Amino acid sequence: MSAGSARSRGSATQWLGLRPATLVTLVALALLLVPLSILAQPADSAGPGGVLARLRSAAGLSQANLGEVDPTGETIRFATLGLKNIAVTLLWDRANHYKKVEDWTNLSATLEQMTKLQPNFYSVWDFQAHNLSYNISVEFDDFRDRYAWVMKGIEFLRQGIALNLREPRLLGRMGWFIGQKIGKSDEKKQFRRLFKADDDFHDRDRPGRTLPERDNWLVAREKYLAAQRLADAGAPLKTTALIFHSEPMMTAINHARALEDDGTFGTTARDAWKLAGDEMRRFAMREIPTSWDVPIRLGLREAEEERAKRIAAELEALLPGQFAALAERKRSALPADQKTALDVQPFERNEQQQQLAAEAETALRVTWPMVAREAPPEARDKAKELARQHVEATETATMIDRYRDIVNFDFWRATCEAEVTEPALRAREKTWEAEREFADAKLQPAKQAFDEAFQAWREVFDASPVLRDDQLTADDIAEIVDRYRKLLEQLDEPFPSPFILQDILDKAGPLDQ
Amino acid sequence: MVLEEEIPRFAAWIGPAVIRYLFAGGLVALFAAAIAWCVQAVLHGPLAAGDRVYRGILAGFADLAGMSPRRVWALARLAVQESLRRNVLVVLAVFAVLLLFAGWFLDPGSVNPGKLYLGFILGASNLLVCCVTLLLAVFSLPADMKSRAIQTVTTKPVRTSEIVLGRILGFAGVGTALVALMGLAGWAFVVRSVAHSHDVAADDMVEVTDESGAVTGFTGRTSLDRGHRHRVTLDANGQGVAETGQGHRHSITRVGEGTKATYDVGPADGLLEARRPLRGSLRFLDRDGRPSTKGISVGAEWSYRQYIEGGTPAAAIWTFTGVTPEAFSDGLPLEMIVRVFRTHKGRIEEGIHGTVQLRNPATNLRSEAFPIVAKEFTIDTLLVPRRLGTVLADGEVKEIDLFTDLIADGQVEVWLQCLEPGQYYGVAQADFYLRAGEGSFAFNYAKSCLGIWFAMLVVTALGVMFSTFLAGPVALLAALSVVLIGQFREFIARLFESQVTGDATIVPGGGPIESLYRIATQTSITLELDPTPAVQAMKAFDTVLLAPMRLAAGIFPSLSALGTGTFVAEGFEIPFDLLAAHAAETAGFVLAFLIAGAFFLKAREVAS
Repeated sequence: MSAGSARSRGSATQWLGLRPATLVTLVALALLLVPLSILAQPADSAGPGGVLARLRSAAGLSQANLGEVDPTGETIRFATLGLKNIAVTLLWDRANHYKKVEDWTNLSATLEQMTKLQPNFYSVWDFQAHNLSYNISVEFDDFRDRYAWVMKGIEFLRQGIALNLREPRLLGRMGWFIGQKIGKSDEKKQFRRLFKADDDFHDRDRPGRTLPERDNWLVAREKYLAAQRLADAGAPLKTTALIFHSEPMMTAINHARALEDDGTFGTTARDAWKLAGDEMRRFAMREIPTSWDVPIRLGLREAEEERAKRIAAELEALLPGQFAALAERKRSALPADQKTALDVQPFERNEQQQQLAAEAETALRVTWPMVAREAPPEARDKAKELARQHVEATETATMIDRYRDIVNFDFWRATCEAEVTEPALRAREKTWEAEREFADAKLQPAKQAFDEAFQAWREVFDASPVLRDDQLTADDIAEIVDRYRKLLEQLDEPFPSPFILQDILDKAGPLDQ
Repeated sequence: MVLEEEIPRFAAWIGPAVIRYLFAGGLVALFAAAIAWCVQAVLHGPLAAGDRVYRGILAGFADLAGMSPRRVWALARLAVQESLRRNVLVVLAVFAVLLLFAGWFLDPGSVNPGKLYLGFILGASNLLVCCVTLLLAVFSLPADMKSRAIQTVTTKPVRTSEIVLGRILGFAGVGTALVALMGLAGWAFVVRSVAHSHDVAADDMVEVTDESGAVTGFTGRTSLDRGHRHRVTLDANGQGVAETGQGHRHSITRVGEGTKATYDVGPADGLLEARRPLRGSLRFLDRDGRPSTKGISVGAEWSYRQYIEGGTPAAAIWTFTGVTPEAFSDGLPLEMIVRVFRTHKGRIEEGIHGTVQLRNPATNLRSEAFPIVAKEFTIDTLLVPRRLGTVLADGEVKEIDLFTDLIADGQVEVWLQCLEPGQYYGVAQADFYLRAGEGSFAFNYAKSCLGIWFAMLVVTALGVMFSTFLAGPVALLAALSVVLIGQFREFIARLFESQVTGDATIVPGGGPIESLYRIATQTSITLELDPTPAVQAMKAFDTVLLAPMRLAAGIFPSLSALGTGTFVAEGFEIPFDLLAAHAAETAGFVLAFLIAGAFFLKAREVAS
């Protein structure tokens, strides 16, 4: 075949100098641009953009909705040419390596790069901030270096918050770090002191903060309150709401306790406990979503129980004696073996009797809806409505009770109510004074302060049954009494009998030596 | 700085290295000759194949031996011209853009900004230069062959080895110019970026007084600049320093009195240095005072540092040699990093106390103990004076001379002990050294650029070698694969060892197929798989896949191993022994790639 014939055949199968396959590809590309444009057109001032842009906007997922737009991060993400996830995986690996080999400079730089690539991924901020504040800070021996790394973690969270304006959890984490890490570490005394003196942090965080306001627990509370405001404004709260909303109360309580641990008493301590009480009441009246899809308020358990009682009384008036009659009928209808099993004391039942007793108890269960179903026709509708209300009130009270247990609400409420009273403030102050005197080897003044403290504690426990029955409080008191006992040994004096707090000591277990 | 492996003396290293090189090269050559013979045997029969391979090898060596520097130079010039025609200098614009926007990505408040900036500059320069020269190298020959422009060269009396060497030298020349220009710009960028000072306001300083109320000094802090501030401690005369932070310190002088006092703050010292260390060898004594090669492990995942127990005879002992009065006329400037591990809180506001002592290894005479407090990640300094004391048996302190009494034949021991029971000191061999002098940072930086230059040479030679027998994109992929395997050669070696021995603690997770299986089934890498026949077959297949990778990892170059940026970034002079070893390694790879490239091109020429 000649070259000329090949050329002529080629030109016969070409159009605009392109082969058919190339042409078809180009046309297909051009056609694909149409749906691509409809789907991916970005939003601008002239319009809401394509389908994806509208969906992002509706779901609050666009970058501008999430937080500040970081040009650096956008540039880096663009530069990865779609390989962002691979880059992030490599960076996580490198971060772990740098942490292992204690290369803090490169670790910090790697964390920075990771957040540039994934600015809206909560776990990156949370995990790596924890890494900085908790894991890396302890690698340093000088408490000032430790503090600097704790603050690095907190500042890391601040960056995350700026880029995720609708993420209350990050504010919550910042509150947790400021509160717990600074206020509960081994170095809490030093950390709290450094935190108060940290002009750079406070100027960045809230310029004009006064010295008393620079308490780490109060600053933590600010963060929790900001997080709550964000959640209340509709930001999705992807954590346990009960714990999340209890934090302002807990930080206020920790603040008051930290003041007393530092030796600050009088009106300052009283005000701190008042604040804690206010937070407790606010928490008690806050609506908390539950896993039953019925919101509750922790402070309303007693009211719900009262309501259930009132409705039960109304039902009793409407259907006099019928509740007891139904219970009796059920008992009479029980098979003999179940009756026998019920008559045996619970701890003395054998396995079969336990099963029979359980079946019997289920069969004996009487509720107002059961009674209402058997009510005379003229009262049945009203009885059913009242029975429904009774069930609602009882179940709500039970639900509240369970949620209260999770956050130990009864104890904290009793604490807030008791600690603000004069005897409790006196008890704390005298205890602190006694321990200081004892540490300074001033034995007689220490003994006198201990005696006054125990007298005050007696008043506190007499006024608060919840604290009196609390095991942890009993253990705390036992530790104080133990030091008192050592003091008496040094004074060569016997331990008083009867002791004013003997009931509390009896409740506490033996001390670990 | 961290030195996980001791840097060997070049004179001791080169002999075994050359033997290993010749052995590996011989094996590769034999393997290549065997393949060539197989191919030829299929085409021409076994005897003719042997003859052809033999003649080919002879011709190849004759070709290499007969290279003309003039022709190589001419071909190198052509390669340079081609590079310029391909607008290679655009990479400088890319580098300039990187420098302009580097401030967006680099945090001046970093723990050690000098290290961060240097790491970035050296890394970026290395990447750009290697990428550019690799692209030039892999696409040049294939493009010439495709356009038949190569014929304008091959029709002239030019040897194939000259074509390959000419291209390597030409592209390397372009790379050299790029390294030089980027190095200069990078140096200016780093120096400008880390230079800073602080202010010290009178309000930020308070007087320190003793019990009688007399002023004994001043303490306070500097202003916040570039994301950090320093604690300041001055003596009663107003002289002192801003404490080391972010890898540097400032000298500070108080001028004037009372509220009118001002403070002169010096520039940042210690950021861009080139310490010249004299390193020693480390041994330990255990808690009973018995010799030991290792200290105690405190359970850290990274076992670089070994620990000694406080309040016991345990000690870390460095032996330094070559300590002469000429080199250390003012005494021994000892620099140290001492890590701490506490088993109880102890005194939180105080560091862990210990001592440093000097001992004459010949006479056992010891100096009095110098008290220290561990400063962890900060390099602490202790100048051991020429005249110092020794404690006699009766407790009396007698003055001795450092060089006459404590150093024997240039040898001296430095003993580190921790004083606090229940607390531990952690050290590695490189953590204690004598500061034998101060090199020039600029010269050290230039030496680090030499590391980039070595990497560029290797990449260029590799690219040219592949381009002699592969199409451009394929050559690029092949070269990148070699670089990638070289980068992970240690990991591949450990992975293979783990695969063969079945010891999952070396590298957990298994080979490629097992890893894929674990990803698909979301099985943790630490979880042992049940040894079912399928799992065993999978592991066996992995071993087969890993075997060639392991072989390749043994001979492929690691570009990152040629880098010496860590020394510059950490402020230490790059040792000549290391540079010389890198130069020899580079020369070895370039020579191997040149010979291979020349043979491949010759074979291709013969085939066509």
